[in-house]
Amino acid sequence: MVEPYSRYVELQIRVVADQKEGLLFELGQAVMACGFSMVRQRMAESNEGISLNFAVRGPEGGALELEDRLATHRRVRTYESMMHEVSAPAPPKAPGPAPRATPPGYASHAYHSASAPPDMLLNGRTAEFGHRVAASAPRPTYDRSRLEILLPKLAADYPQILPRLALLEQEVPPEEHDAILRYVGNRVGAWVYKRDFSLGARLGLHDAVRHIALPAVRQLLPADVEDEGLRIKASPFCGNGQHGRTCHFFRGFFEGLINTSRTDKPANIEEAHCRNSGASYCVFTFTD
Amino acid sequence: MEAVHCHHNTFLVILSYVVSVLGSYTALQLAIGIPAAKTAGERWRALLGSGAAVGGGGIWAMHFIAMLACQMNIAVTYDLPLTVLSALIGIAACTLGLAVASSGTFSWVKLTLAGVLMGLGVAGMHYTGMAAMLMPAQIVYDPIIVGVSILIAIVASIAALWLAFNMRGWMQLLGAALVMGVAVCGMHYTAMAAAGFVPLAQGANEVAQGLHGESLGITIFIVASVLLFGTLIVTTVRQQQRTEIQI
Repeated sequence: MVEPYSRYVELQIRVVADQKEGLLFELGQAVMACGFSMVRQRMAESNEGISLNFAVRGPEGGALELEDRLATHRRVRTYESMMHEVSAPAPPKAPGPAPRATPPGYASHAYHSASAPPDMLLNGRTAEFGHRVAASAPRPTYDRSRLEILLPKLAADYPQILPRLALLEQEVPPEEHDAILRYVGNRVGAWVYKRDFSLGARLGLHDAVRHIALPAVRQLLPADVEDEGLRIKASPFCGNGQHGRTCHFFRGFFEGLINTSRTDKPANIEEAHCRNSGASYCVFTFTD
Repeated sequence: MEAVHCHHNTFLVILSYVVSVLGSYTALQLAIGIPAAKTAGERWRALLGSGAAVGGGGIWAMHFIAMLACQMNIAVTYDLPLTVLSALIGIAACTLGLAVASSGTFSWVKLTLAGVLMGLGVAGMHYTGMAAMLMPAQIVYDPIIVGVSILIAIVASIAALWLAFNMRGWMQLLGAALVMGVAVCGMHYTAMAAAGFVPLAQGANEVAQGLHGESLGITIFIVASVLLFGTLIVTTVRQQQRTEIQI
């Protein structure tokens, strides 16, 4: 169990495996299961085999479990890691989230590689959402027509879409995160509803959350429903150096899932707590 | 006069459960599409299709396979009009039940009403089917066990409808069909336990005019084949529609 407000750390990890197919996805699942988020990755073929270098961020309390999982993972032949402290996140009722200090050594190579390495692969495919740019650099407005290229790819990969979405988040200027990721979430949610959940009676909001939203989001990552709302345990949109609530994709995803089936007024869906602001879980509330 | 006994053939008893599950699965596959129907015509087609599948297939065919499984030491045939009427009762009650369950937003009141309608449909079909029996014997029922059989049909129907309409996914649909099979078979075999057969001196003439086991067997075979074919068609069409949905 991860401590609610433990210090955040960043782990620089290198693993060697025999095959690259599905490697990033499988290790990414282990990373998310421990409450960490993958912030960057680079895969290359070497004499040893497939070498995957990646960095993850998350609460210090989960680091040992993560290292244990990765070091003993069936796909991993050799494992090396190095830990850095990032910051202590603000408690949930603080007036505003504390800015997360990025270690200078990381800032220099985390996002500034204006041209991504040619051998950077994502789950066996070349990453196609442009090159990463410095987080502080001015960005042009995001070309939304690119979303129409992205969406069919998300449909083809579904439910293994989180790596693509993580790349999209890096590509979109921070001021457009909410609108764009929520829009993509909405489109994906509506599509998933029509594909997998449209058959059956029209459900009330309470039943729809339990029988539609929960099983749908569980295809993507661990989640459960408590009195406070629907809880996501390891959102990949947290701990990426931004402030405040960051799970815009999931908010839109739930809106698409729930509101597509409603004939009366749409449900109001909010992210009440976010792990990015120091909470233990990202919690979504649903009201009529 | 020799006492009349019913000895059940195990293979046919199992087959009766399999047919009731198959009928229920086909029916529920069609029924869960009712709320998504775009036109009134589409809705009624799905309603009648699912009502016919569960009433005619899941319940009626199951009942008569179970009656073939019941081997008695007297000749038994079936009155054709009453046999047809028993099927119509099952189809009508189940169509009504499914219409209620699939209308508007899901609620426990609707679910209970739909379950009662379907449970009464199962029971109505059974007891009409029993009344269709032509034999040199009279049926007497234990009223308490009859009540229990109707209760089983209603409770299991509510459970099956809850699973089918409230939950999502093919596993839930299969679970609902298995539970509906329990509703139909549980009701039938409990009702059979409530029935006693008192031998009569007369009745041989009526037996000769009724529908014989062979004709019934062929009819059941046709119904079961239609159900299997229906399941295959519905599954294939659904799969095709699923892949065509654009993001």
